[in-house]
Amino acid sequence: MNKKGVEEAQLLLITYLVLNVVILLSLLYIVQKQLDGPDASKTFISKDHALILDTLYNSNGDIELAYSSKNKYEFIYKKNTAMVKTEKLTDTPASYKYSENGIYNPIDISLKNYDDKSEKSCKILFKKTKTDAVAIEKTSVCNGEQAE
Amino acid sequence: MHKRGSFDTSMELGLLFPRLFIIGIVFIAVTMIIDTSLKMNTDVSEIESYTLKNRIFYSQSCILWKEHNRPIPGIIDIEKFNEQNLDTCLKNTLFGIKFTLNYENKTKEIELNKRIYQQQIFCFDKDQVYCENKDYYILVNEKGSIKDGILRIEMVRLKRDTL
Repeated sequence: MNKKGVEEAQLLLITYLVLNVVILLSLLYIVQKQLDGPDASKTFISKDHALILDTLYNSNGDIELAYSSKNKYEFIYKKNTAMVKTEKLTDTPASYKYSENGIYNPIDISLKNYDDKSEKSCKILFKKTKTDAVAIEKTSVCNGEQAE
Repeated sequence: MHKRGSFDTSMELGLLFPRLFIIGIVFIAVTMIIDTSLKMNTDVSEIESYTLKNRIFYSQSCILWKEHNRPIPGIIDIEKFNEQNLDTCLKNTLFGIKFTLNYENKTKEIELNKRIYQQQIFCFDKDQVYCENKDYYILVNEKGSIKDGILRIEMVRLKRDTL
Protein backbone atom coordinates (compact mmCIF):
# COMPACT_ATOMS: atom_id res chain seq x y z
CA MET A 1 0.00 0.00 0.00
CA ASN A 2 1.38 3.39 -0.95
CA LYS A 3 1.43 6.52 1.24
CA LYS A 4 -1.74 7.92 -0.35
CA GLY A 5 -3.57 4.71 0.44
CA VAL A 6 -2.53 4.93 4.08
CA GLU A 7 -3.86 8.48 4.33
CA GLU A 8 -7.19 7.48 2.80
CA ALA A 9 -7.52 4.54 5.16
CA GLN A 10 -6.83 6.76 8.16
CA LEU A 11 -9.35 9.32 6.94
CA LEU A 12 -11.96 6.62 6.56
CA LEU A 13 -11.32 5.28 10.05
CA ILE A 14 -11.54 8.78 11.51
CA THR A 15 -14.84 9.29 9.64
CA TYR A 16 -16.23 6.09 11.21
CA LEU A 17 -15.02 7.19 14.65
CA VAL A 18 -16.68 10.61 14.32
CA LEU A 19 -19.86 8.93 13.07
CA ASN A 20 -19.90 6.63 16.11
CA VAL A 21 -19.47 9.56 18.49
CA VAL A 22 -22.26 11.50 16.73
CA ILE A 23 -24.63 8.52 16.96
CA LEU A 24 -23.82 7.90 20.63
CA LEU A 25 -24.34 11.56 21.53
CA SER A 26 -27.63 11.66 19.58
CA LEU A 27 -28.92 8.62 21.45
CA LEU A 28 -27.92 10.09 24.80
CA TYR A 29 -29.67 13.35 23.87
CA ILE A 30 -32.84 11.48 22.90
CA VAL A 31 -32.85 9.49 26.16
CA GLN A 32 -32.29 12.62 28.25
CA LYS A 33 -35.01 14.50 26.39
CA GLN A 34 -37.44 11.64 26.93
CA LEU A 35 -36.66 11.44 30.64
CA ASP A 36 -36.64 15.17 31.38
CA GLY A 37 -39.06 16.66 28.90
CA PRO A 38 -42.65 17.68 29.55
CA ASP A 39 -43.96 14.80 27.43
CA ALA A 40 -42.39 12.22 29.73
CA SER A 41 -44.12 13.50 32.87
CA LYS A 42 -47.55 14.49 31.60
CA THR A 43 -49.10 11.00 32.00
CA PHE A 44 -47.78 10.79 35.54
CA ILE A 45 -48.99 14.32 36.34
CA SER A 46 -52.50 13.62 35.02
CA LYS A 47 -52.72 10.61 37.36
CA ASP A 48 -51.29 12.63 40.22
CA HIS A 49 -53.89 15.37 39.73
CA ALA A 50 -56.73 12.84 39.50
CA LEU A 51 -55.58 11.30 42.79
CA ILE A 52 -55.33 14.75 44.39
CA LEU A 53 -58.92 15.48 43.38
CA ASP A 54 -60.02 12.08 44.72
CA THR A 55 -58.38 13.02 48.01
CA LEU A 56 -59.89 16.53 48.13
CA TYR A 57 -63.34 15.04 47.70
CA ASN A 58 -62.65 12.78 50.72
CA SER A 59 -61.89 15.63 53.03
CA ASN A 60 -64.35 16.82 55.67
CA GLY A 61 -62.35 19.95 56.44
CA ASP A 62 -60.53 22.62 54.47
CA ILE A 63 -57.55 21.71 52.30
CA GLU A 64 -55.10 23.75 50.26
CA LEU A 65 -52.43 22.05 48.19
CA ALA A 66 -49.90 23.83 45.99
CA TYR A 67 -48.57 21.72 43.13
CA SER A 68 -45.38 22.74 41.39
CA SER A 69 -43.98 21.56 38.11
CA LYS A 70 -40.81 22.60 36.35
CA ASN A 71 -42.41 22.26 32.91
CA LYS A 72 -45.13 24.30 31.24
CA TYR A 73 -48.50 22.59 31.07
CA GLU A 74 -52.13 23.30 30.38
CA PHE A 75 -54.52 21.55 32.77
CA ILE A 76 -58.11 20.75 31.88
CA TYR A 77 -60.55 19.32 34.43
CA LYS A 78 -63.80 18.33 32.81
CA LYS A 79 -66.33 15.48 33.10
CA ASN A 80 -64.40 13.85 35.97
CA THR A 81 -61.23 13.71 33.88
CA ALA A 82 -57.91 15.43 34.61
CA MET A 83 -56.12 16.25 31.36
CA VAL A 84 -52.57 17.53 30.97
CA LYS A 85 -51.20 19.09 27.77
CA THR A 86 -47.80 20.52 26.98
CA GLU A 87 -47.56 23.97 25.41
CA LYS A 88 -47.27 22.44 21.93
CA LEU A 89 -50.44 23.17 19.97
CA THR A 90 -50.61 19.73 18.41
CA ASP A 91 -50.01 17.86 21.66
CA THR A 92 -52.39 15.04 22.59
CA PRO A 93 -53.35 15.43 26.25
CA ALA A 94 -52.68 12.72 28.81
CA SER A 95 -55.80 12.05 30.85
CA TYR A 96 -56.96 10.14 33.91
CA LYS A 97 -60.38 9.91 35.49
CA TYR A 98 -61.17 10.80 39.08
CA SER A 99 -64.24 10.03 41.12
CA GLU A 100 -66.41 12.98 42.04
CA ASN A 101 -68.37 13.43 45.23
CA GLY A 102 -72.00 14.07 44.29
CA ILE A 103 -72.63 16.58 47.07
CA TYR A 104 -70.23 19.07 45.45
CA ASN A 105 -70.60 20.79 42.09
CA PRO A 106 -68.55 19.12 39.34
CA ILE A 107 -65.33 20.86 38.30
CA ASP A 108 -65.10 22.40 34.84
CA ILE A 109 -61.85 24.36 34.75
CA SER A 110 -59.09 24.89 32.22
CA LEU A 111 -55.88 26.69 33.20
CA LYS A 112 -52.21 27.02 32.33
CA ASN A 113 -49.35 27.01 34.82
CA TYR A 114 -47.56 29.67 32.78
CA ASP A 115 -48.08 33.03 31.12
CA ASP A 116 -47.66 33.14 27.39
CA LYS A 117 -45.04 35.89 27.72
CA SER A 118 -43.07 34.31 30.56
CA GLU A 119 -40.66 31.40 30.63
CA LYS A 120 -41.59 30.50 34.21
CA SER A 121 -44.01 27.80 35.27
CA CYS A 122 -46.14 28.57 38.32
CA LYS A 123 -47.66 26.51 41.10
CA ILE A 124 -51.23 25.28 40.83
CA LEU A 125 -53.37 25.60 43.95
CA PHE A 126 -56.00 22.98 44.76
CA LYS A 127 -58.47 24.28 47.30
CA LYS A 128 -61.44 22.82 49.10
CA THR A 129 -63.48 24.36 51.86
CA LYS A 130 -66.20 22.76 53.95
CA THR A 131 -69.01 24.42 52.07
CA ASP A 132 -67.67 25.29 48.64
CA ALA A 133 -66.80 23.06 45.74
CA VAL A 134 -63.22 22.21 44.86
CA ALA A 135 -61.40 25.15 43.26
CA ILE A 136 -58.20 25.04 41.21
CA GLU A 137 -56.23 28.16 40.32
CA LYS A 138 -52.81 29.35 39.18
CA THR A 139 -50.76 30.99 41.92
CA SER A 140 -48.25 33.82 41.58
CA VAL A 141 -45.47 31.59 42.93
CA CYS A 142 -43.41 30.68 39.90
CA ASN A 143 -40.32 28.45 39.74
CA GLY A 144 -39.72 28.72 43.49
CA GLU A 145 -39.79 32.53 43.50
CA GLN A 146 -42.42 34.65 45.14
CA ALA A 147 -43.90 37.06 42.61
CA GLU A 148 -44.51 40.67 43.57
CA MET B 1 -4.62 -10.46 -4.97
CA HIS B 2 -4.74 -8.86 -1.55
CA LYS B 3 -1.81 -8.84 0.74
CA ARG B 4 -2.69 -10.14 4.20
CA GLY B 5 -3.57 -7.15 6.43
CA SER B 6 -3.75 -4.75 3.54
CA PHE B 7 -6.45 -2.07 3.29
CA ASP B 8 -8.39 -1.75 0.06
CA THR B 9 -9.48 1.90 0.06
CA SER B 10 -11.68 1.70 -3.02
CA MET B 11 -13.59 -1.26 -1.57
CA GLU B 12 -13.94 0.50 1.79
CA LEU B 13 -15.27 3.63 0.08
CA GLY B 14 -17.69 1.50 -1.90
CA LEU B 15 -18.97 -0.04 1.33
CA LEU B 16 -19.35 3.34 3.04
CA PHE B 17 -22.83 4.05 1.69
CA PRO B 18 -24.36 0.63 2.46
CA ARG B 19 -22.82 0.91 5.93
CA LEU B 20 -24.26 4.39 6.45
CA PHE B 21 -27.66 3.09 5.33
CA ILE B 22 -27.52 0.21 7.83
CA ILE B 23 -26.33 2.56 10.58
CA GLY B 24 -29.30 4.84 9.80
CA ILE B 25 -31.76 1.96 10.08
CA VAL B 26 -30.19 0.75 13.34
CA PHE B 27 -30.28 4.33 14.71
CA ILE B 28 -34.00 4.71 13.91
CA ALA B 29 -34.76 1.27 15.41
CA VAL B 30 -32.83 2.02 18.63
CA THR B 31 -34.53 5.43 18.91
CA MET B 32 -37.96 3.82 18.55
CA ILE B 33 -37.12 1.15 21.15
CA ILE B 34 -35.91 3.80 23.62
CA ASP B 35 -38.97 5.95 22.92
CA THR B 36 -41.45 3.14 23.62
CA SER B 37 -39.60 1.64 26.57
CA LEU B 38 -39.39 4.99 28.35
CA LYS B 39 -43.13 5.54 28.11
CA MET B 40 -43.76 3.59 31.28
CA ASN B 41 -47.25 2.98 32.53
CA THR B 42 -47.65 3.76 36.19
CA ASP B 43 -50.48 1.68 37.56
CA VAL B 44 -52.15 3.65 40.35
CA SER B 45 -55.19 1.38 40.82
CA GLU B 46 -54.10 0.34 44.32
CA ILE B 47 -53.57 3.94 45.51
CA GLU B 48 -56.85 4.94 43.90
CA SER B 49 -58.79 2.16 45.63
CA TYR B 50 -57.19 3.16 48.95
CA THR B 51 -58.23 6.80 48.39
CA LEU B 52 -61.80 5.84 47.54
CA LYS B 53 -62.05 3.59 50.59
CA ASN B 54 -60.90 6.53 52.70
CA ARG B 55 -63.85 8.47 51.30
CA ILE B 56 -66.20 5.67 52.35
CA PHE B 57 -64.74 5.47 55.85
CA TYR B 58 -64.05 9.13 56.62
CA SER B 59 -66.20 11.44 54.45
CA GLN B 60 -69.31 12.87 56.05
CA SER B 61 -71.10 12.63 52.73
CA CYS B 62 -70.97 8.83 52.63
CA ILE B 63 -72.21 6.28 55.12
CA LEU B 64 -70.76 7.48 58.42
CA TRP B 65 -72.92 8.01 61.44
CA LYS B 66 -72.95 11.62 62.61
CA GLU B 67 -73.17 12.64 66.24
CA HIS B 68 -74.10 16.31 66.73
CA ASN B 69 -73.29 16.85 63.06
CA ARG B 70 -69.78 15.38 63.53
CA PRO B 71 -69.00 12.24 61.50
CA ILE B 72 -67.67 9.37 63.66
CA PRO B 73 -65.14 7.25 61.74
CA GLY B 74 -65.70 3.52 62.11
CA ILE B 75 -69.43 3.71 62.78
CA ILE B 76 -71.77 3.14 59.84
CA ASP B 77 -75.26 4.60 59.86
CA ILE B 78 -77.39 1.71 58.58
CA GLU B 79 -79.95 4.13 57.16
CA LYS B 80 -77.27 5.74 54.99
CA PHE B 81 -75.95 2.41 53.80
CA ASN B 82 -77.85 2.29 50.52
CA GLU B 83 -77.04 2.30 46.81
CA GLN B 84 -78.13 5.89 46.21
CA ASN B 85 -75.90 7.28 48.95
CA LEU B 86 -72.85 5.30 47.90
CA ASP B 87 -73.44 6.15 44.25
CA THR B 88 -73.53 9.87 45.08
CA CYS B 89 -70.48 9.59 47.30
CA LEU B 90 -68.42 7.74 44.67
CA LYS B 91 -69.89 9.45 41.63
CA ASN B 92 -68.49 8.37 38.25
CA THR B 93 -65.98 5.98 39.77
CA LEU B 94 -64.38 3.54 37.35
CA PHE B 95 -64.36 0.81 39.98
CA GLY B 96 -67.01 -1.85 40.15
CA ILE B 97 -67.62 -2.23 43.88
CA LYS B 98 -69.55 -4.73 45.95
CA PHE B 99 -70.24 -3.90 49.59
CA THR B 100 -71.34 -6.75 51.86
CA LEU B 101 -72.30 -5.70 55.37
CA ASN B 102 -72.72 -8.45 57.95
CA TYR B 103 -74.05 -7.64 61.40
CA GLU B 104 -76.30 -9.46 63.85
CA ASN B 105 -76.85 -12.37 61.42
CA LYS B 106 -78.10 -9.91 58.82
CA THR B 107 -76.51 -9.36 55.44
CA LYS B 108 -76.89 -6.31 53.24
CA GLU B 109 -75.31 -6.24 49.77
CA ILE B 110 -74.85 -3.25 47.48
CA GLU B 111 -73.22 -3.24 44.06
CA LEU B 112 -71.95 -0.13 42.25
CA ASN B 113 -71.08 -0.25 38.53
CA LYS B 114 -72.34 -3.81 38.15
CA ARG B 115 -70.97 -4.20 34.62
CA ILE B 116 -67.43 -3.51 35.78
CA TYR B 117 -67.85 -5.62 38.91
CA GLN B 118 -68.90 -8.57 36.75
CA GLN B 119 -65.43 -8.51 35.18
CA GLN B 120 -64.12 -10.04 38.42
CA ILE B 121 -64.21 -13.41 36.67
CA PHE B 122 -61.06 -12.18 34.90
CA CYS B 123 -59.26 -11.38 38.14
CA PHE B 124 -56.71 -14.09 37.35
CA ASP B 125 -55.34 -11.78 34.63
CA LYS B 126 -53.56 -9.24 36.78
CA ASP B 127 -52.28 -7.32 33.76
CA GLN B 128 -55.81 -6.49 32.62
CA VAL B 129 -57.90 -6.28 35.77
CA TYR B 130 -57.22 -4.88 39.23
CA CYS B 131 -59.04 -6.76 41.98
CA GLU B 132 -59.18 -6.25 45.68
CA ASN B 133 -61.15 -7.94 48.40
CA LYS B 134 -60.90 -6.88 52.03
CA ASP B 135 -62.88 -7.20 55.26
CA TYR B 136 -63.13 -4.31 57.70
CA TYR B 137 -64.27 -4.60 61.30
CA ILE B 138 -66.73 -1.76 61.85
CA LEU B 139 -69.57 -0.73 64.12
CA VAL B 140 -73.13 -0.33 62.88
CA ASN B 141 -75.55 2.20 64.28
CA GLU B 142 -79.09 0.86 63.91
CA LYS B 143 -81.81 2.99 65.45
CA GLY B 144 -79.42 4.37 68.04
CA SER B 145 -77.87 1.08 69.18
CA ILE B 146 -74.30 0.18 68.24
CA LYS B 147 -73.61 -3.32 66.90
CA ASP B 148 -70.48 -5.16 65.76
CA GLY B 149 -70.20 -5.81 62.07
CA ILE B 150 -67.92 -6.70 59.19
CA LEU B 151 -67.92 -4.74 55.95
CA ARG B 152 -66.45 -6.58 52.96
CA ILE B 153 -65.42 -4.32 50.08
CA GLU B 154 -64.67 -5.99 46.74
CA MET B 155 -63.26 -3.63 44.12
CA VAL B 156 -62.66 -4.36 40.44
CA ARG B 157 -61.18 -2.06 37.85
CA LEU B 158 -60.23 -2.63 34.24
CA LYS B 159 -56.62 -1.62 33.77
CA ARG B 160 -57.03 -0.60 30.14
CA ASP B 161 -58.75 2.55 31.45
CA THR B 162 -55.58 3.44 33.28
CA LEU B 163 -53.36 3.33 30.21
